Amino acid sequence: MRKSTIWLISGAMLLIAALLLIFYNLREDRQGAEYSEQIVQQLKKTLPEPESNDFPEFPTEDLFSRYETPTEPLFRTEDGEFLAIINIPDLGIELPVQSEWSYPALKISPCRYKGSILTGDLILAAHNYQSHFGRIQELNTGAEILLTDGNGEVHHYEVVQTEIIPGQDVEAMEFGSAENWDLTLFTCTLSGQSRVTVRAVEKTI
Amino acid sequence: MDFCKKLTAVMTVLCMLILVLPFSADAELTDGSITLMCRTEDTILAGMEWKIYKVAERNPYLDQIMNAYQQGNYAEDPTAAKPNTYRTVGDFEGSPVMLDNDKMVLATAAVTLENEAILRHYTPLATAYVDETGEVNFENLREGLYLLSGKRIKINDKTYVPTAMMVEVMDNEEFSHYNIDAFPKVELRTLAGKETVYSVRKIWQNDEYYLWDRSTQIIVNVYKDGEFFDKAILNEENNWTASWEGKDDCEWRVEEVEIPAKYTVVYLSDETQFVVENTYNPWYDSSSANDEWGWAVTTTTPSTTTTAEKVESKSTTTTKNGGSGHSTTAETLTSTSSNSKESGKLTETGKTTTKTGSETIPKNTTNSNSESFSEHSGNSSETQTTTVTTVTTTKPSGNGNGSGGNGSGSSSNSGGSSGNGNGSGSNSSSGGGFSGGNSGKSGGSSSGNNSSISKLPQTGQLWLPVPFLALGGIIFLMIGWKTRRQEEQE
Repeated sequence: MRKSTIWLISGAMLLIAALLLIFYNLREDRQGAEYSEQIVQQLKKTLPEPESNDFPEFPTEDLFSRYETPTEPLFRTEDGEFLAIINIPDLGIELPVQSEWSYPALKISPCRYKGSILTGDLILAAHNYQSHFGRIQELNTGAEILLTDGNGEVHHYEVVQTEIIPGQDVEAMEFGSAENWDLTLFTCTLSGQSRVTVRAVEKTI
Repeated sequence: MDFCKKLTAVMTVLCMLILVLPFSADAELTDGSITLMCRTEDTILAGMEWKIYKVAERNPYLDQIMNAYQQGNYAEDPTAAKPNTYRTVGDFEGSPVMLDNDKMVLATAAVTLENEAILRHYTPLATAYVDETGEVNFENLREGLYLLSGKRIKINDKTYVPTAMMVEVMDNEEFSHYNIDAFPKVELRTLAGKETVYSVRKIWQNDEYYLWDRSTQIIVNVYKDGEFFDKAILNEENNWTASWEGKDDCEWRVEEVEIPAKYTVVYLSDETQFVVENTYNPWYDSSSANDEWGWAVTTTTPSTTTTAEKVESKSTTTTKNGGSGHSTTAETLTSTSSNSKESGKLTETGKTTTKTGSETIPKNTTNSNSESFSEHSGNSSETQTTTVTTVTTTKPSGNGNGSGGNGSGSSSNSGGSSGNGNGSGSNSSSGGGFSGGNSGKSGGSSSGNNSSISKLPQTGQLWLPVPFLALGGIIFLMIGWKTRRQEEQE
C-alpha cells in the first residue's frame, strides 16, 4: 500500500471519529432533554392541585412526622425519588433533580451532589448538555433560580456568584469561596478539567 | 323622733338599694354573642350542629401568682398550680390544659377540651344548628372563654369535619359587650366506610432534663363514636405507639387515662393518626397535681372486652384511704381470648390495676364488631411511682406485622428523634399494624457514590477530543494528498 493511501485513510478515519463523537454528544444531549421533559411532566402531575372554593380537603400529612427529624418532601415516582424541579427562567430550562447522584442518573437529569434544601447547603451537579447545565456560566448576578419541592413549595434563589473550581478541589466546592450560599449548581467545563460553579442564596418572597 | 329616725334609716337603705341594684343588675346583664360563619362560596353547611361550652374565665390571680413565683414562695401558693391566663370553670375545672393568649395554644386546647367534653358527656350551655344562610348564633353570653364544638355533617357524599375553636367574650373599658363573628375551620373528607388502620403515639415534650418525672408507660383509651372501644398501653418498648383497625366513617377519639403529674396534655389528630402530647411544665406542683388538676381524680377504667371472643371476669372493691380522705379503688380485671389465632387483637391476661384517688368509673360499652386493636410491645411489667400499676400484657403470637421497631431515642424524645432509620420491625410475633420506626431522613445527605471520591463528579461530555480529531484528520488528509502528488510526480 502506498504511503499516501495510509495518510489519507488515517485522516479520513480521524474525521469520521470526530463526526461520530459530535453525533454521540448531540444524541446524548437530546436524550437527556427528552428524559428530563418526560419526568418533569410526570412530577408536575404529583404536585398538589390548586385550591377550590370549597372547604379544604382534610390534611393527609403524617402527624407523627412533626415529632421526628424533618425529612425533605420528595417526589416519589416509579422512576425513583426526585428532590425537586429546577427552573432557571434566564436559560429557559426546567429539569427534574434526582435525590442522589450517579453517572447513569446524571445522563437523565441534574442530581443532588450533597446537602439539602432544608439546611441551605444544597449542591446540584449536572452534565454540561445544552439542555442541562451547559449554559449556567451565562447566568448573571441576580438571576433567578426556582426549586419546587415535593410539597409543591417553591423556593426562590438568586445568583450571587459564578466561579470556576478545579475538578480536584472538593473542599472549595463543598464549603465554597462565597461567604453565604444556599444553593450551588455546577457542571464541567468543555475540557472536563474544571467545574463551572454558580452560587445562589434563597430569597424570601 | 323615733319614727323619724326609723323612716330616715329605711329611706337611707332604700336609697342605697336603688343606687346599688342597677349596677348589680348591669353586672349580671349579658348580651355578648358569638356567630359562626359556616359557608364558602360553593357550600353552605346548613344543619351542622354546634355546641357551646363555657371553658374558662380570666385568671384573677395571675398577677399574684407571678409575683409569688418571682418572690420564691411559689410552692406555698395554692393557686400556683394554675398559672394560666385563664382559670377553667364548670366541668372543665382541673383540666390539665394550658390556656393562654397564644392563638396556637388556644387552638390545640380547643381540640383537647372538646375531646374531654364529648367523652365525658358534659352538658353544653346551648346547642344550635347552622341556618340556611350558613350562620349559627349563640347569644346572652357572659364574659369568658367559650369552646365551640361542631359535629361533622354529610352533604352530597362529602363529609365536612369542623374543628373545635375557642372564642373569648370580653367586657372591658373599651367595649361594653362583644358580638363576635367567627369562622371555624372546616375540612372536607370523603368517607366510604372502609377498614382503615389508625395509630396513636405518645409524645413527651420539654422533659429531657426531668426524665424521672416521666411515667414508664401510659394507658390510652380509644373511643368509637363517643363510646369506649379499647385501650392501649404505650411504653418505650413499642415506641409509645399502638394501632388498631376500624371503619373510616366512625368518629375515633383517644384519651390518656391518667395524665402524669407536672404534665399538661394536648390531643392532635389527622385522618388516621392520633398524638397524645404531654408537655412537662415546671409550673405544676406534683404534690398537688392530682387535687388541683383533677384529671387523675376522675379516670376512665381501662377495662372491658372489645370482642365477642373474649371472656372476662372483673371484680371491683372500693375502700377508704384513711390518710388522704380519698377513696381508693382496687380493680382486678382478667381477660382472656378464646381465639388466639386472631391477629391484631389485644389479648390481656392477669391484669391488675390499682389507682389512688376517688375514681368515677363510667360504664363502658362492649363492642362486638369487626374493628380491632393492636399493640406492639411484648410483655411488660411496670411499677409507677405516681400510681401503683402492674400490668402484664401477652401478645398473640402469629401473623402480626412488625413490632414497634427501634425504640431508640424515645426515652429522650423532646419533640424530636424517635424512630430514626430502620423502619422495618423485626419482631414478627407481635400483633399490630403499625411498624414502628419510619423511613428516616432521606434527604440532606449525599449518595453512596461520592462517599469515597477525591474529586468532583465528571459532568462533561466528550467535546474536547473533537477538535483534535478533526484537526488531526485534516492534517493527515493534507499530508496524504501531498504525498500522493509527490508519488504521482515521481
